[in-house]
Amino acid sequence: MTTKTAHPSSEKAGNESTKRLKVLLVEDFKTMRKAIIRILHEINLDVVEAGNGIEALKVLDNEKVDIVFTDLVMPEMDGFELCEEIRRRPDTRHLPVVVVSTHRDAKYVIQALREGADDYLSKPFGAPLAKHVIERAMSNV
Amino acid sequence: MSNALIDTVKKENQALATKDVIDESMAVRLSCLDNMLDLAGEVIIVSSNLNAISHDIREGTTISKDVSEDIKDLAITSTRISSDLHSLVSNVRTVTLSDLFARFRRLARDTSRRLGKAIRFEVKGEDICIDKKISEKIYDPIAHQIRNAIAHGIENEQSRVSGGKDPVGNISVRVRNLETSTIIDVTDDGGGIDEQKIRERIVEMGLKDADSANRLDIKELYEYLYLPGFSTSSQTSSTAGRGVGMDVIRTTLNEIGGETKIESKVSEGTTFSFILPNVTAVNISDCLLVRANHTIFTFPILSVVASHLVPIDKVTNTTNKGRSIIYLGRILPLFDLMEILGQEPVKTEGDQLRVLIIEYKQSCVAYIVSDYLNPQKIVITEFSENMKVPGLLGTAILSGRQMGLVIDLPKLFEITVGSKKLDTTKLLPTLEVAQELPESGEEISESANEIPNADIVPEAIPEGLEIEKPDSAFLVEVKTMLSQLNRQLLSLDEKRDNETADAVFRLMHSIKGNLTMCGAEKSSHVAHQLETLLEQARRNELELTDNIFDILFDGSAYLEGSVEALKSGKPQTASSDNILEQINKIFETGKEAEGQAQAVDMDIAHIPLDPMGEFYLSSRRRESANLYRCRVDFEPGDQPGFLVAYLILRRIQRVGDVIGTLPSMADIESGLCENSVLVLFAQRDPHADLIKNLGNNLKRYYGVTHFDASTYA
Repeated sequence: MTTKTAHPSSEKAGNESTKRLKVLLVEDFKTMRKAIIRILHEINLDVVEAGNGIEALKVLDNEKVDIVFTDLVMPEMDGFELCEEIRRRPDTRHLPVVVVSTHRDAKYVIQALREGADDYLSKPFGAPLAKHVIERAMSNV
Repeated sequence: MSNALIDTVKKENQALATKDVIDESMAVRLSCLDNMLDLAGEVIIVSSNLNAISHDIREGTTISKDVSEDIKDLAITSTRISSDLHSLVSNVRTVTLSDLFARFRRLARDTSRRLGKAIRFEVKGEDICIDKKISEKIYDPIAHQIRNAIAHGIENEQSRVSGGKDPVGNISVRVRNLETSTIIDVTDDGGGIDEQKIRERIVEMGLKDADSANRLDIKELYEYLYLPGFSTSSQTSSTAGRGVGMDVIRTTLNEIGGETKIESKVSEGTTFSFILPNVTAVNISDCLLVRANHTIFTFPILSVVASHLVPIDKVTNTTNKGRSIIYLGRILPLFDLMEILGQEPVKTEGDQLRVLIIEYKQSCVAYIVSDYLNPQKIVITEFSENMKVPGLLGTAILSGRQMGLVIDLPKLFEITVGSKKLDTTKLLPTLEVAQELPESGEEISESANEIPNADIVPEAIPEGLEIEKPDSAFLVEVKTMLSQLNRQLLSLDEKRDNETADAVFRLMHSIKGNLTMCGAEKSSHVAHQLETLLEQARRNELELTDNIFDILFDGSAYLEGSVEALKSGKPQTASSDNILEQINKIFETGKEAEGQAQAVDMDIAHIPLDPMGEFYLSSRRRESANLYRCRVDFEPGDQPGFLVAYLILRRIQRVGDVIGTLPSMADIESGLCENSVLVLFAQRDPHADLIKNLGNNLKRYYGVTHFDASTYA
């Protein structure tokens, strides 16, 4: 399928043949959010942002995203609760969720996966790993 | 150039080199910016009125009887605006004293504990604002005075009681805001300064004979307290190793244009006042203005060596090293200012180039510009953090309603030297924003639409987040977080409740994250351990004792030290060993107490997959089962092995029922699995290619290097 996207600027037309994925990034700290967005842009993704779980659910109500990246420790509604809620809602039940956290302990990783996360990235991470994890998460859809 | 000029340039360079880049940013209260915006609006109205008047005069269509009256009105308005603006900008530079005072509380707490003296510490006026630069300088002097007051001002309990005083000493820090100064008083209700002791010491040190010493009045006597090395016997033990003495208090206060005052009454106490000037300094700088195409740039005038016309045929072109010119016998590399900033090259006319020669850190570089304009005093408005453009510091409003872009010399040189590596397209979006402010009307680039997000910091970090040197944004943020931490710890110390513990826990978690991003492994480990302590506290698994608070405060002090070290690029002097050891002790005692409870927990924990050793097949499965035993070897790459193992099992679970694993599921879930797992599973769907597809999928997405599955009898 070579439906050309009308992007005169896109030099890498070969890679752009598929639609750009849209990521919902949920992270309470702006600096961290920016750093992650930089990486997500590097691997050609569109990003919408949210500062906590509640904001994230609002975004999901109004917008269609392809994958969610969420931090664990956040005010209002944390990443665990967000995973749970995404899995509970019929319209988001199959949405891939990748937890992005500085926690490295098995305890947190496993808990996040049990709450419904598809994968787990510990910060800091680079673009290649992010790309790999996204491909893996999308392959399960 | 003259020697004097070289000297001034050198001084400027040194100042720039030692300037702490990270400290140069600060948070600005939104209300200030709103007020500024209002004023900016007024400025626009004034200038459009002026325009109208000038138009009328030119066209001879003046309706008003007296044009000069109109102009006078406008002049009065603009004078008011500029003075309002001036005081506003000064106001923006101020910060509240709350952070500083939180540190004082902590210091008072630590010192009184260390000395075993009970004190009541009170602060007043935390929300008063002072200039940020001053607030950074006065911590040490005031801290010194607080330590002094606790150590030497406040008497020991016995003498307080026998003197009819409350056994608990009182120390207060109070701020008063006056017209031209802000006064911080450190007051204790201790024994006061003994004049006689000062006189004796003066004589003892041979500074004056007994007679003239006795004639000194109080003011003169107190002056002696500031002499280097001068201390009455009661003070000698005090400040050892603390680095700041009374003489240093004086020096620091002189530096910031402040003064100190002592008032004391024997047996009633002492008040030590720090009188700080209310600074109205604005970020004003002398600059040379140049034009490059349609944009005006400002260079710090002290960095400008010369403006110079170079015939084009005198420019040397070398293929590898770019262009160069010869100026006063020196070969100088020649760059196009606009190209360096990622823009269209400067359009040149005629057979001569206008060149600006700039010196920074003993090296000279020539930049091609379009024209030289006048030198001007400019007020720099720095770009906000997310609008930063490499090479540019901010904007400046110039005479004649124009906007100039202020060159950030150190950054510009950095880019110039490494200009070949520069990805120019990434510089465009933010520069575009800067360009929209004035009425310049000229668009700069036709390719600006290509950049999807203009608010991203335009720094190319190709390796993603794996940064070796600390990312200043994270460092700045973690600094703010640490001062927040200090305040929150103090409030936790007071309240000792779950809610506050929860807030501190979240803050500590973010601090850990930021430290990790800065590449500070050790400190992030310390933060992690502190976070674990706090987590247990917020879950009521750990009682918040004084001992725990000592660890938390020590830990936070250690982290502060680490951040300072990261900032200055020097190694952290304090060691984390002691803190980590103490935390471990607490964990161990906790574990002993909880050992039994945890064992019970494990039994009832829901483990979805039976361990290989204990699996058995249900009769239903035994009949229909297509049992497979498979071995999966994988390379987890940058992720932990247990995580990838868990994901692989989950993937297998999608096509079959996993009955057993080795290592056991419990082991995998507690992190024990590196790169290989044995799985026994029953195929759910009798599809022929299932195993093959599974293998391919695992190899493609899970880093699996080896997958074999054989039916299991």
